[in-house]
This record gives sequence, structure tokens and C-alpha cells, in this order.
Amino acid sequence: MVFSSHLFLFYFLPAALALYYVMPRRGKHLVLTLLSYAFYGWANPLFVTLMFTSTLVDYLCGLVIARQFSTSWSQPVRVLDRDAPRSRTQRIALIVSVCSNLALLGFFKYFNFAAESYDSLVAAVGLEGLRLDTILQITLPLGISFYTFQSMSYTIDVYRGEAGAVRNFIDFACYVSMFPQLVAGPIIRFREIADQFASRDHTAEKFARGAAFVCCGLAKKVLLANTCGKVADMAFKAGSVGFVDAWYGAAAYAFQIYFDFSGYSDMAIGLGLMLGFVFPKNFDSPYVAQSITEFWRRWHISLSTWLRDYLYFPLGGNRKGRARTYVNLAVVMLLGGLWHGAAANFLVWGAIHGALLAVERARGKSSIYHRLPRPVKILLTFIIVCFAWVFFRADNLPHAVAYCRSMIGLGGPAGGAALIAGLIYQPYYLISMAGAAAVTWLCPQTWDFTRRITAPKAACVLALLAAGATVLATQEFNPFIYFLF
Amino acid sequence: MTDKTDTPEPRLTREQIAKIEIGRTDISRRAAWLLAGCFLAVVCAVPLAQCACELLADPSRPPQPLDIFRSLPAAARAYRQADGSVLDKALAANAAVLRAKDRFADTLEGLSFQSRLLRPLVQAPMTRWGGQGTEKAYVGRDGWLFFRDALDLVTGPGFLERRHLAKRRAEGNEYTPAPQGDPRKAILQFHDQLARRGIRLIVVPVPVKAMIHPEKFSARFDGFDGVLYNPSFERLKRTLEDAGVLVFDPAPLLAEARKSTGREQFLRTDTHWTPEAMDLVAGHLAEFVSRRVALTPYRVSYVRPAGPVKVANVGDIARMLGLGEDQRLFKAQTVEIRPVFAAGAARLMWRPRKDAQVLLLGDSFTNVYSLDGMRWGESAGLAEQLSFHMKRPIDRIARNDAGAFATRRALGRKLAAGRDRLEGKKVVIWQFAARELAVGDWKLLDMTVGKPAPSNFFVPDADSTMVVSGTVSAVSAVPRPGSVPYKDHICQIHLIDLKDNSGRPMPGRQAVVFMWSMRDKKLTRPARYREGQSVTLRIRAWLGEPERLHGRTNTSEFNEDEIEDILNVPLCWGEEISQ
Repeated sequence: MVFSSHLFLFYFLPAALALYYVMPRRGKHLVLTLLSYAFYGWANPLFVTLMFTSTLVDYLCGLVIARQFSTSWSQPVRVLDRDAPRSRTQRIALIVSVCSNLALLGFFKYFNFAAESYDSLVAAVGLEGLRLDTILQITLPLGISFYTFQSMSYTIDVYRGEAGAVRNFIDFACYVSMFPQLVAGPIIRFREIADQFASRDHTAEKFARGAAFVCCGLAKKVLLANTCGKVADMAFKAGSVGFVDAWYGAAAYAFQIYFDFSGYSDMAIGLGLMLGFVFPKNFDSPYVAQSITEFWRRWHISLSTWLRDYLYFPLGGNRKGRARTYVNLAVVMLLGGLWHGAAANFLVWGAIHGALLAVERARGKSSIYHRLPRPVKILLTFIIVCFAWVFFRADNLPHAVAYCRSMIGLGGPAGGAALIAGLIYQPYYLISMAGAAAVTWLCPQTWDFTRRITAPKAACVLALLAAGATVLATQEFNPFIYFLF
Repeated sequence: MTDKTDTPEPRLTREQIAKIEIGRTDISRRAAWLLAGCFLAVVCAVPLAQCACELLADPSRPPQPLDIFRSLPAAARAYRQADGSVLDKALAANAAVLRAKDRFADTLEGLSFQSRLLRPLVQAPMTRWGGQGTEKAYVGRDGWLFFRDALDLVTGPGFLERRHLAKRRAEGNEYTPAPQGDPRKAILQFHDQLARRGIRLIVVPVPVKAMIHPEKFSARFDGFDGVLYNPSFERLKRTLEDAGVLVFDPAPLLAEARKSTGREQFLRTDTHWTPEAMDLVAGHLAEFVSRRVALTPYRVSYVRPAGPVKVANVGDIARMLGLGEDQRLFKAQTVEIRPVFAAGAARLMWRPRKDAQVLLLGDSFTNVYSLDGMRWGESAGLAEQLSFHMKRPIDRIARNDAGAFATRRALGRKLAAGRDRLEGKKVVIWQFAARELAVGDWKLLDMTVGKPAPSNFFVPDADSTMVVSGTVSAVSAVPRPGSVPYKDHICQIHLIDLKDNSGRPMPGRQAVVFMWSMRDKKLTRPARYREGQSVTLRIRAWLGEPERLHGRTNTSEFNEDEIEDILNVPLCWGEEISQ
């Protein structure tokens, strides 16, 4: 169930809000957990058992790490001393938590990729007899990449002494499963939201700003992401496209993924506000970045900070010399690419960004074009990001390479592929692309736009809701890219 | 240019910054209540209005949003009925729930008053000024419309490329098996099955509109006078011909006709060819067959009246835009058809003959101008024209849509039931739309002639009608009106706990019943049947009059995963009596 669907917007959401608000304070987390499990189970009821198991394991591991079983349950849970040594039991509990999460992720997301890669490798070196030929029909559980990271960060934080363990299982289950951010983030760390589980206020102002976020997010998704997505789909599904079509398609995909994901994040933040929770910003106008380093400070912030805190820093960050810093950056970006999808093209996407980050780090975090005027720097960064998106969007690596060849003028439209011009340059799509560009570079982001809500702005927000809901009623193309991750 | 939001002290976490930011929200209490109230009013008004509309239309039936609760008994039944371990049973129950909830979500959106109300209002300006079609109907130039699947064949990668075949393999889900995407396997298997009985196979992949008229979609093809093939087409043709399959490709003929006459070979707002194009192909196909297959002479001849009959209609793609029946954006196109009659004073309309040596398996390209439901006239379809040109009777099995599979399945079903439809045949002409090469399900099918075996499924005696009641166990897929190019559709209902009029259990206690699921682009009540629902129907055997009347209508049927040995199950035709 995506937020921008008829079912969610007009059935699940009103029912969820009604149930949440009629429930007395003590039962709100329980009802929110049950609603979240229903929301999650809508994709596939069996996935619920998986998420519940993961939640239970991490909850118990958290308690073991915090030595809760050795102290009285009537005493408050204490945060561990950061510098004190950890016992063997605590280490084992941490390993169990991390391994169980990684095993879940590894099996459901990477098993087939690993088996296929192994088969290709042994075939390449002439050892056909060692092939596994084991491809399982595995359905990727929705949001698994998000909730495993989120729940793993909890036990790591408890172990590091950066967060206290949670004693109430319902609270923890609610944190892991909370439907506004369950399937596509933002990735929330328990330590940052624990106080909101203890107490949070529900005010009309918060609800109204949440509603404004939802309306803006819906409009981004339905009016911009879906139309740009149609153009991108035509370009990437075509057999072989020409130079102009290829760039137009790549730009369309850049807009699609940005408005799709940031629109979804806006809706997640808005829904959180309606339920009294405050989630952090996940996008900060990434396409105004003047370098790739800056881009990653603005794009999917919750993932990049997660990778920084739980991967880059433990690898040594920039404290072990320049060469090691570059290697660490590359490793983090490669794994970041792999996190998005188990395929070689995602690895290449991560490698491109990792390499560019390393180059910019060597130049003091500035791009190789940092002396150029600001609009040019923004444009060049956007072009690089677009080029890298090709690897993210393509069906596989050969497809990405073929598409890139078209983008540098080495490919050409083969036969009927040139026909896509009849669709992608229709006025409706041209206007949508122009609208997407205008919103990207000329309009304020949702956080700024909704900070001060005047009567005209409220009317504008409601008009966006009406436009979004109207187009939604007629639109059949409504994918959500991050559902795949 | 967008500015970054205020950046507070660097030591603050992102969550703390967010809290400060939310705390700074500047909105008056009145405006906050008003905004929140309006938002809630909008999201609550839609479901409430939907329920009210449904209750007003049919007070006896609970509103459709409540149907979701019916999926739970279906899951319990699937769990009980599944064989194997607890895990197997759980997977079966899970698949039943997934199927039910997908149907629920589809119907909820399809039947939403909001969608029906807004769609024509929004779609009309978007089509007129924006060139925006729908997911299935694309807007071309000069008032032409194109079917998306057909266009994808031309613009997409080769249908035999690994990238494409891998995508097809990933199309299945927990309750629908992935399609068999490689046409070569199915065509060669069918060829071998026929060859073993001494029957030749001729495949006729009818080109899609964009292959012949690309200039009507993009100005880049102005002046183009060739054929736009999918990159894999030549490879397929070569493979088939190497294996002895006869391939009759009408595309060069149509391109040549367009070039020499300047006339349109396809209907402007419809998926199909013009009557002239069809007649041209029929004439050349007749010649192609007579040169390659030795047929015994026949003394039956057919005539076409001297004056053509004029038919005016708005095409199926225009209807898919959902602009409403009174739309004025796309005008009706008038064509001249030439119906075929049996020679003689009685002027009997052409009929297929089961004793013919030629069997034509065809899809909507065969049915157009023949099947009245398609609104382009009668008795002037491909089988009729072919019969006229060959001067001999022809047997025909035609199913709209899914020509890659539906006609073979219909043939296979007859053979399995012991009705040898291939008896006496010398040649089978298998016509399908070329788009099927990229999107069709080329399932491998058994074509063995079976013996009628006792079945657990009930079917009334031929020509008799019975009133029965039962519980719905499953409903085959039902398309959403407007998302498909046709206006009528038939689905299958699996009934269990079957009882007769007096409440006595029926032999076998179960039946598979064909019923209307869509009439004139509106879903019928059977389309909304849910697992566990009790229904009372008037049923009769499908083979016979019902098949003759409705057999060429678009149909969805259960697959082997849903009902075991479905090809051998005797089928019924049903009409609802009461709920």
C-alpha cells in the first residue's frame, strides 16, 4: 500500500487516525503497532512474521546488552557507560542482533545475486562443474532494508552506551514498525526518538503542518514524479535511444526518483506529525548541490548519516590517513549501492559516487569545477548525478552501458525506438518536466514552505491536495521506486 | 534558488533540529483547525460518499469496502484444502489472501465514484491539449490513437533478448505463475503436435499499427514507407522457418499497400486493421496456403454482395481513454465492410464448418468485422474473407485477446474432452497479433485427444437448464473497465457445496461456470463475487449454444495452479438469479 494510493489515502488513513485518536493515551502505541502491522501485512501477510521475529530478537538482545535481565524490572533502564568494558554475554547479544539482521537482509536480498555471481565466476574460469545453479524464488520483503537497519542501530547504540534499552516491547515494536516510515524511511534511530515514545504532544498546529506536508508530498508524487516517471520508463524501456532522448530520459528519471522519494518522505514526516511524532528532514534540495560531497549531505540524509555512523566511522573514517579515508569512502558507497539493490549496476552506481567523493575529499571536499560560477557548478553536479542514475535505473549492467553509450553519442535509435518521441515530447510531459525543474530549482522545500502557514498558503496546500487526489483518480501509472529496495 | 533551512548549532542532532523546526511552525490556531478539518473532510468524504452511493444503488448488498473481511474465510479454506506441510498450507492461505486483497484494491479503485466522476472531466482536457492518453492508450498525430502494448513491441528491446525474457520470468507473483515468454518454444511445440498428425502449421503474426503507420505517432517517421519491426522478429522468423513452420508475414503487404495507394491500413482510433487491409491479407494468405498445402477440392462457394455495407464506430482505444460515451474528441470512423454469405438463394450468413480442412485460430484481428460485440459489423471477418478467397469452408476458433494462448487452450480443451477438432484438418492457420510476441503467455500445452472421463465437476445435460445454489470458491481475473480495449468480458466462477433447487447436494458438489463479468464497460455482480459468498444461478452446459454465442468474447479462465486439471473440467454457462 503506497501513501499515494486511493486505498491508503481514503480508507486506511482516516481509519488509522480515527482509531489512534479515540484510543486513550496508554493504548496509542499498541493501536499504532497493530495498524502498522496491518499496513505492512497488506503487501504480504507472511512478511509480518519476519518483521515480528526480527523485532523480538532485537528487543531481547537490547535487554541482554543493557543487563536488564540481571536487574530489577522496577528500576529504570540505565544507559551503559561508554568506556566500561563489555561482557562476553553483551558481545554475543550484539553479534546475535547484527547477524540476525544481516542474515535476513542477506538471504532475502542477496542470496540470488551471490549465487548468480558465483556461477558466473566459476563458469568464467572454466569450472562449470562447481556451479550451484541454485536460484530461489524469493520475494523481497517490503521495507526490509529499512527496518533491519533501524532495528540494528538500536542494539548497536545500546551496546555503545549511546541509548538506553527499551523495556516495553510494544514501544519497541511500534518504533520498528511505525507505518509512516516503515517501508521507505526516513531511517530513525531509537535514541533520537525515545523521548517521543515517553511523551509527545498532539496539537492542532502539529496536525495542520503534518497535513500540509502530506498534501505537498502527494502533489510531488502524483503531479511530478509519476509524469516524469512515465517519460523515464519509455526511454529506459526502449530498445536503443538516441542522444537527446537518452539525456531527456535520464533527466526525467532524476526528477522522478527525487520527487518520488522526497514526496514520500514528506508524506511520512506529515503522517508522523499527525500522530505526534517529529521525524527529521530526509532531503535538503539535493539538486542544488555544487559538488557530489554536498549532494550526499542533502540526499537521503537518514541513510547517509546511518552509513557514516555505523560503517564509515567504525572503518576508521578519516582518522587513519588519507589513503585509508578514500578506501573507506569507496567501501561505504559500494555497500550503499549494494544496499539499494543486489545487482552489478547498483555496485557501479555506488562506485561512481565513491570515486567522486574520494576525488573531492582529496581536493578538500571541493569539486574539480569549484572555480566555476554557482549555476554552472549546480548544473555540472546535476549532470554527473543524472549520468550515475542511469546505473541505478537500468535493468542490468549491459543495459546501463548501452544507455550511457547513447548519452555520449555512441549509440543511436535502432528501428522503432525513435518512436518514443511521439510520447515523451507531448505537451503534457514537457510541461511536467518544466514544472519539475521549476520546483527543484525555484521553489522552497516543504520544510520552509510550511513553516509559516498563512491563509493563502493553506488554500494552496488544499488545492494541491485536490489536484493530487483528482489526478490520482485518473492516473494508472503510480509506481513507488523505493518499494523495490 | 532553494535555500537551505536555518542551520542551528552544529552539535544538535537532526532530530533535535527537526523538533525545533516543528516548534517554530507559525500558524494561527484557527487556521490550524481549519486546515486540519478540511484535510480530514476530504479524506473522509470519499469513502463515506462511496458507501452512500453503493447503498443507494443496491441496499441489499454491503458496501464494497467491507468486502475485505471476506478474504479471511478464503484463507482458512485454502489452508484446509492445501496438501503438504504446515508451511505449504500457510503459503496457500497467504496466496489466497493476496489474491483477495489485490482483487479488493482493484475493484475499490475501479468502482470508485470519484474515479468515474472525475476521469472524463480530467482526461478530456489532458488529451485535447496535453496529448496525454492513459496507461494503455497513447495519443498519436492527426487524431490517431495507439495501444500501448502494441507500441511497446516496436519501441522495446528484442522480445528474444535475455533482458526481455528475464523480465517476463519475473512477472509472476504468489498466486499467478510467471508467463512463458519465449514464443519459439510454444510455436515449435504446436508445430510438432500438428506435424505428428500430418497437419501443417502456418503462423500469421499480424503487425501492429505502429509497424505500418509510425508517422501517425511521431513526426520523426514522416515519409517512412517501410515496416518497423521488433529487433527479434527476423530471428524468430528464421528459427521457425528452419524448423519447417510456415510463416506468413502480412506486414510487407500492408506497407506496400499503404505506399502504393496512400490509404490507411489501420483504423484511426482502434487497434485493428481496415476491412480493405484484412481483405488484402486474406487474399494473399489464401494464395499462400493453396501453394503450400494440398487441399482436396470443395464444391462450396461463398459470395459477397456487390455493394459494401457502411459501418461507423469509435475505436476501442478511444473508448479506453475513458472520456465517456458522449465524448466529441474522437469522431466515429466509417468503413465499408463486405459480408460473406453462403452462395444460394437463402443468403445464409457465413458459418465455420467443423469438417473443413482448414482451421483458423485467431484473435480480435479475426473477430473484427465478424463479432457483433466489437461494433464493426458482422460476417466480414478474417475467417469469412479467407473462406471467400479460398472458395472453401473454414473451421474457426477465435478468442479476443491473448491469441498466443487462448485459442490453443480452447483447442486443447476440446481435444482433452474427446472432441477431436483436428480430425480431417490439413492445415492450421494460427493468427495472432504481433504484440503477443512480446507480451503474450506462450505456455506449452498438451494437444492429446482424450476420452471423456468421469469428473467431479457437475454439468447439466446438453440443452437442459438447472437452478443451483452454491458457495463461491474462486473467481478468475476480471479486468478493470477502461483498462482493456473491449467492453464485454466473461469470467469463470468456481462453485462448491453445490445444491439443487430443493437443497439436495449435487453430484460432484462443485462446478466451473462462465458468467458475464463486464457488460458494456460496466462490471456485473458476478465480477464482484467473493470467496465464501452464497449464490443461486441458472446454469447449462457451456459446450453448445452458449459457446457458440459467447465463445469469441474476451474471457479469463482459471489456470492449472488454481484448479487442477482445468483443461478436462466440463464447463457451465450461468446467469444469476438472486444473491
